[in-house]
Amino acid sequence: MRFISRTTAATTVATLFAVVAFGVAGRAHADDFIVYSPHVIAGQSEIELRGYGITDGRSEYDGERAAELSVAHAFTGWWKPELYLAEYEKEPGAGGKLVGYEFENTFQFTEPGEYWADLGLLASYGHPKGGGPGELEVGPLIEKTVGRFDHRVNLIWERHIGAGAESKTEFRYSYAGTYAVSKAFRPGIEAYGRPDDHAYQAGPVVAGEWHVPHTMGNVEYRVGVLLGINAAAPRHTWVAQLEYEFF
Amino acid sequence: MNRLALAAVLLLWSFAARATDVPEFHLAIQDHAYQPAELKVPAGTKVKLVIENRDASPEEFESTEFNREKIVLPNSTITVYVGPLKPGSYRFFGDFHQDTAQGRLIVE
Ligand SMILES: [Cu+2]
Repeated sequence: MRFISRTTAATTVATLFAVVAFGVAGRAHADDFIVYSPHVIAGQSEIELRGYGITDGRSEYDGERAAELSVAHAFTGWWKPELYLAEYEKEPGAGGKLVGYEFENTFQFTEPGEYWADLGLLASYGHPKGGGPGELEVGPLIEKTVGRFDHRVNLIWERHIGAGAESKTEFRYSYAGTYAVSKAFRPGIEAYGRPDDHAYQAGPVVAGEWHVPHTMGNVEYRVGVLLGINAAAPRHTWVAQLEYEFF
Repeated sequence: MNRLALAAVLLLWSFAARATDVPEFHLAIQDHAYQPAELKVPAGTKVKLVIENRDASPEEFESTEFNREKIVLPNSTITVYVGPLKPGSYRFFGDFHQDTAQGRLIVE
């Protein structure tokens, strides 16, 4: 049965990743403002640019920026590996620099709409440029669609490995809820919680996609602003994402 | 680790909540058009759409109104779970041939 073999293969690879992540010995690297979908569209390729910038009256937060460029291809309906070719980071009051690379995997465990909610798993390894500890991230990706509404929840655990790594596991969670007014206009809200950093943020987002005529490609965008809910969170985090998906 | 246990429970719960005997409906894509262009399905229950692409080029089955997106390779078949939906008319289309590949789910 196709369902079993797909699930077994995905579970095996995912379990291996989880064992490595939690068997070895982390502080969170740059915040990552995205709520992943567990959905994998077999055969689809992606080129993606996403980033964020912080504006805050406080100098220890103001001017922080980060951006990432990645490529991905879904080889099957249950596995999408993504390669982050460049990761840029600028800390407040400092110059910007390229910080590393990342190999990220999305595993789709269940067919969209087949169960009460759709389940997947994120497993990634981030490799720093110029030495230092690497970073593993693992966690379930949950999505539920009800008509035009779409809800996503991510629970991500993060651990550093290699020389000089801290033995602490950090946890973060995120939620995205959108309503599809049209294909090109899906307004909604996103919320992020990082208990280890005492940072809680939420705010409005808009996402959407356009088909590129006479091609098998779509341009997808997402923009938003996250407001700090508590004092230890940055006041305004501006997020943006641009993606070209093609077949 | 209790967090891992939580992840495991989520996994199991998802698999436990398996769909039972979902009614099946068929759609075909031919000459970049859906056949039938209007498909009647029951309201208030999950349905399974079996979509066959008879063309030599890929198509993407897509709907904004019931939030689905999936590629159908040439001469192959996919399964898409939809609903439960309230009675009404829900548009779907073929993302790669939007001029001709248009259809509706008539939910009643
Ligand atoms: Cu599409």
